Amino acid sequence: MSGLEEIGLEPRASAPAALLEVEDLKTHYPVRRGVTERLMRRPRRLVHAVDGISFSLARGEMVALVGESGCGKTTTAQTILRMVDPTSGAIRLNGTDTTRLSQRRLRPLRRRLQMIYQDPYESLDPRFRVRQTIEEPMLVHGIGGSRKERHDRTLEALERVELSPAELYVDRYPHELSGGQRQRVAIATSLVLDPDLLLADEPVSMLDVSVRAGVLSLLDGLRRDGNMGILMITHDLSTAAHFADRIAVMYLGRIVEHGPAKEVVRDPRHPYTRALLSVVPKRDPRDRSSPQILKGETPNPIDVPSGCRFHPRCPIAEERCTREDPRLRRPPATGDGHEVACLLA
Amino acid sequence: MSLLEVRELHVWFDLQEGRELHAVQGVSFGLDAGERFGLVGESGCGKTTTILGLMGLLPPTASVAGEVLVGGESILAGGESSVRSHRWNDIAMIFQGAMNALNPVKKVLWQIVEPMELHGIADGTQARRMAGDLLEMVGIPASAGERYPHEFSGGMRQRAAIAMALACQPKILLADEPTTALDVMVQAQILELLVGLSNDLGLALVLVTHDLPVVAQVCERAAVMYAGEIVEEGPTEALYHAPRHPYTRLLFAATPDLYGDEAVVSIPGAPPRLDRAIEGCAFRPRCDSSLDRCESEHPEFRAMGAGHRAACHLNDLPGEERAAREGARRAGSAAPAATPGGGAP
Amino acid sequence: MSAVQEPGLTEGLSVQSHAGFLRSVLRERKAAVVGLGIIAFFVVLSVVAPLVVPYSPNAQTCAVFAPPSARHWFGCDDGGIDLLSEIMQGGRISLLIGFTATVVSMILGGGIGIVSGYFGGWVDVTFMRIVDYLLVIPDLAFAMVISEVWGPSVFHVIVVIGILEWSGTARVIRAQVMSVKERVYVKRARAVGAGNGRVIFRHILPQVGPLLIANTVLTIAVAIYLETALAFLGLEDPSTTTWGTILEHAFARAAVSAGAWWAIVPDGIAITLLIMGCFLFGQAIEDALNPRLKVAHLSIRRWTLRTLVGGAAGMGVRPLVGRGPDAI
Repeated sequence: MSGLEEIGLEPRASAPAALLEVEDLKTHYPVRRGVTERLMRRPRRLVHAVDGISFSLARGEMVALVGESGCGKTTTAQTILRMVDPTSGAIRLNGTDTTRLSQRRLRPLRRRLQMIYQDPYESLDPRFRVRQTIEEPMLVHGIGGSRKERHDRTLEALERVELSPAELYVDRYPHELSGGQRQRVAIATSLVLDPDLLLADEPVSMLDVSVRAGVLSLLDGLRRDGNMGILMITHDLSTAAHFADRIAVMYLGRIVEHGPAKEVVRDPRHPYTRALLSVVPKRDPRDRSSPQILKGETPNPIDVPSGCRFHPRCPIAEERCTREDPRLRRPPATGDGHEVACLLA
Repeated sequence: MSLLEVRELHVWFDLQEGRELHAVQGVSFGLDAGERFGLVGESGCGKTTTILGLMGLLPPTASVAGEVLVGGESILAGGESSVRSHRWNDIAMIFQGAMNALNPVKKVLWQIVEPMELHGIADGTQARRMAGDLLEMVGIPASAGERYPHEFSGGMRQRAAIAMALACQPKILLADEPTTALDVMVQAQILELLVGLSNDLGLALVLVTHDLPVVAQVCERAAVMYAGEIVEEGPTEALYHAPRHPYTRLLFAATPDLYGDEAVVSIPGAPPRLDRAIEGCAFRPRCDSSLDRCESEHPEFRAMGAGHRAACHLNDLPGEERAAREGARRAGSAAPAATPGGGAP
Repeated sequence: MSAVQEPGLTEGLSVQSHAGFLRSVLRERKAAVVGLGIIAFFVVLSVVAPLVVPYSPNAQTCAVFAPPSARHWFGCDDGGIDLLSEIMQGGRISLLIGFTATVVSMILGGGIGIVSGYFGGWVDVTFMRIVDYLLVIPDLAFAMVISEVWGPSVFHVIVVIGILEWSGTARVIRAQVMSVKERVYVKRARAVGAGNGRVIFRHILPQVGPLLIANTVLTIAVAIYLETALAFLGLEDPSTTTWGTILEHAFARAAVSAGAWWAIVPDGIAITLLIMGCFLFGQAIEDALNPRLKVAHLSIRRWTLRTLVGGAAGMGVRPLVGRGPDAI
């Protein structure tokens, strides 16, 4: 079921292939001005958190949005969720542009779109038993009918996230669960609504190394069997390389490189991606290839550099990089779907 | 004689109703000047408590036993009063989240001068000059010392925290998760700095982290902790290429490698509670190759080769039999490409 | 130090139910037990007062200003009325006024605090300006003016106290709501599609509940104090017997110059005790809610050193043989 009939929205004329299409999305926040700045009538400045990104995601696909803090990956997710309003651009879910919907008309769509948060210690209400946490979305959306049916759905969701026997977990409080178990409960909470798209914001970064793979494999299995799309937001390139189909590398509100995960990792074309990959520590102590450490830190997204926004830190920048803003394009001798925003690639 | 020698360190915490938590259960290790030593383990394994214990920085509910020798002198023997004279003078620490623990209303330079004055190293203009030199050493222009912490980026604050730790010219630096909250690029910068400092100043560095690849890239030797004790200790190369404890092997296998194709595994179960007695080997319930005797007999921590020690009964078996028991999941072997989802939870 | 994060050891640290929280407050804090005991004593006494009063609180049963005796423990007042009976009866009305006024101010303060903190914006600005206004007005002066204008009556006293006391609560609750609102689980509930009502009643209210209780108990103390003061100043219906009117009568009929201390002291002690009980209990809850008061490194006590011989293996955890450098 596509869910579109249910919510009474007309699908677009041209049947979309992609589950999620993001087109030239921009999210700018005004910077809070102090009293003196207001009195001085200084102009309102903008944080260009997301500054024109486009990508798509199909059912059964996992795309990783990778980048350092402040690159706009989390704002992208929040905008897709419409917790934050976009400045311009389009977000199409199953072909419906959600950017122009009011919060009220958005509500039925929220079912299709679920978020998994980074910190499982924070994302579950400490006063709710597992049962209450998982039942809440059903109650909110008026599905699940009878108490018995909700109970069955709850148990089913727990089994799907491999917390079995489910009866053992339904009556526990979050503090009685380990980090990995909490994250599984959070995932189960999303699953009861049969979502089409999961947004996973650093789903394992707060978990112990020994349980990370379990949670990631669970997500991997869900998108394969559940016909779900997953957008994973992460700073961890190794995890992205292992679990995602495609990787989009973000820098200062833009996607700078985008392509099949293995290809981006093995054959990076953007100097930023190359530097980022070179500083990921390797497991093998013998493999001490010299990292290419960039100086300084990501500039703040208020004063975005002219031309290519990476040029002040770029090791190979030329004069024209300071003037020309590169668009994403396919560089020569790369595979299908590999795009890079670099004038020199 | 090693510069730092920890012998049989135990830490207990009093719990309610007369119960006790045996957080550190006889940890021993030593390191020389200029050596970098990693202390690795998951949350709750006692790695942070170990270094807080040897610094005498524990809450009143804690009790400590064991010996900590700095240059042959026992520093814990006289309780708090004897540790105090060594703390910061001989042995300094970068606390977890140190970059967020700078005093927000004091200039950065002042915060580096303070420990110097407290310990009578220097005062007045001399102390300020020394603090300026320290800032330059960690890669911050001395003039920036006149700024407040909030004007610094995360990486700069962490550098300032390192400068604070070096204020009294210690011989030993304990770093607790120094890069955990930082972006990969900034992490690389900080690690480069720590390696440089240990090389240039002959600092002995103890790096406490959950991140195996970081230890693999930075340290020559490392100890893996589980349930309050060291289960394996040795050169990082040996730990990766020839681990002698299943936990070490599985921990590496649970860590995704950027270019590795083998499936990432997770370790089932959770660490045992430390407020009750543990029979036999603490890791047995999660072990993939345990023997019958692991249930009742606590394995001895024994030498496996040059500087390589481990506490596992499997090491009593002949080589082939051990390898057979360990199965094909051995980390580091060039296993055929598997699907990313192959790791069972 | 948060060094120890064992799974399964966080029990008791996180609050799972309000009853459990109150139990742990009572278990760990003696002041809370004492405070709750005092409150309970007066509540029970007020409930059973009509059944156990030794004499009628309205009729003359002894001589004017008769001193305390075996028959009249607290002596008698200017009208020859047994003071013990009168205090017990007066406690009923005083407590009723205190509790009712508190409920009014809690509903106002809690409601406005939650609405203000949750919605923010102009709603918040408007309410907070009113709160600022109320906070700077001297309570007693304002109460006197209102009582004077509306005329003395128990109902008016309740309304006046209710209107005056909600502002502080609103402030505290608003601040707490603003922080709870930012918690990830509240954001998750909203992302799931939960409406404002659900988020407020299911996620936020339970989280600010204990603080509201602490505030309620503290407000009872203030309400009873204010009631006494108003009655003492003659701004309450003189025909009702409350702890405040008992005091007022005693002063008006020159108990002091007659040397009849018993007309004032027992009543005063009852008021003081109840207010103290409310403060002890309310403060204990508030302290328990504030994690900053538990920080260990602020303590002057230190960790202790143990010797490994004998006592160390006291837990019998694991054999110590074969560990450490000696084992090489």
